[in-house]
Amino acid sequence: MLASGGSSTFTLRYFDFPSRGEATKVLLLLGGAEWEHKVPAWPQERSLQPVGRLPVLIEHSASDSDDAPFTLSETAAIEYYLATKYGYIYQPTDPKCVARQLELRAHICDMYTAFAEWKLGPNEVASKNKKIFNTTAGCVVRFHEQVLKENGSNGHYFGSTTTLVDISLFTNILALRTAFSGLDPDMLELLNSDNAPEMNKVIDAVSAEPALASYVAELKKL
Amino acid sequence: MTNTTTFTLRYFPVAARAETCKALLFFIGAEWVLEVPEWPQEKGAQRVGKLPVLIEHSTSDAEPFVLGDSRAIEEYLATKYNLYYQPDDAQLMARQRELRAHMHDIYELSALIIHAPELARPFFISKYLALARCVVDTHEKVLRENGSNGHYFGNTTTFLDIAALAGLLTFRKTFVHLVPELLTPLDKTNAPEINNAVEILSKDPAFASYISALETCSNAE
Repeated sequence: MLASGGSSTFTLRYFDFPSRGEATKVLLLLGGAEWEHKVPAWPQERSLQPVGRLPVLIEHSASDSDDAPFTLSETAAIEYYLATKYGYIYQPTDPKCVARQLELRAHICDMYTAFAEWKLGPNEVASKNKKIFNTTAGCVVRFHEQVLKENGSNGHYFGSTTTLVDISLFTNILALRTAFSGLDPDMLELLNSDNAPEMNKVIDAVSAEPALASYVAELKKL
Repeated sequence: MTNTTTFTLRYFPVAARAETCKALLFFIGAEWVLEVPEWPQEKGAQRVGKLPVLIEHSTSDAEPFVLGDSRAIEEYLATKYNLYYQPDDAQLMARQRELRAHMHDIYELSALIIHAPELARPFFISKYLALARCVVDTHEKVLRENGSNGHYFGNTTTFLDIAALAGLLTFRKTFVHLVPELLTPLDKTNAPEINNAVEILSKDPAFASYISALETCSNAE
């Protein structure tokens, strides 16, 4: 069922577990978009995706022809597109500020990728990948805790309202905690509220967004 | 007083993740230097312990602007020097970022292959080949639909063209020695439009310095 609001409607094709598609969902919810989540049969429908991967965002607009909606792959491209559309890039006309936001988002995504490669990669590289994750996460936590303190420890990376980097941290950390905690709970201690207090304030701040109440409630059930 | 901007790019002395950053700096005619940190001694002095790092020194700013992450650096330079095609069109901008991300994903998989132990390589190689085939199909179509003129969009060099040139030339330089089969999806038979575009771009004098620097650069091991 499509949630309503706005001249475009969206379809998000993604799996039915929390992972790389979560930031896109949150942006659609915060933006008040009319959208639906479709779970492709996998791997049967892999070849129907732009490069055989998910997520894929499809924007249906009244000005597009029915057989040519705007279809976009790649989380970075999708998130930046929606964040720009719905005003979740901080100071979007300042190239340095935008670059800083993309840099911080890339750190967070690299941390997620390092974790996924450790837990889902071949056994022959598990030990090496675990080291890479711990090193990556350690560096990211140190750097990001400082950035958040410099912004006033208010639960936001920039300014005083939720923007893309806040959303990226919220979704990536929650996806890690939800999808992987059952495998090895201790491995995420580096990201808990004792070791990363400022980052956890960001998670709390985004969780408190009224538009995300149902979304957060569903995540807690997992 | 005229504002002067110069750049320092901190990276290893090899052809790897920073090639598109270098190609961008050469293409825009920036005044820049490559700074090679002592490694791992200077790892802790980098923003999150990683390279590349770009430092912009501007006479109009009190402090230099320091930026980590190759993707953020590329985005910054491409935006600052107006290298995106039709930047006011949000969907076209998203398309350009998507296509760049495809190239990045192939690179990341190739890096995993090169650094993986022999036993783990088949796992990553099969993922790489599956992704490379899909990405090549998509990019070939974009280039054909733009008239096979050597550009992804329009008829002048934009960010994607620069990334494609740097990416393919680096792959050719690196893989021919390390894992030659990774070049197959990107060769002239399987990717004629991409190869045609890179051949046309390579003749642009604006890339002469970049290509010369790449030829003398060491390969990543």
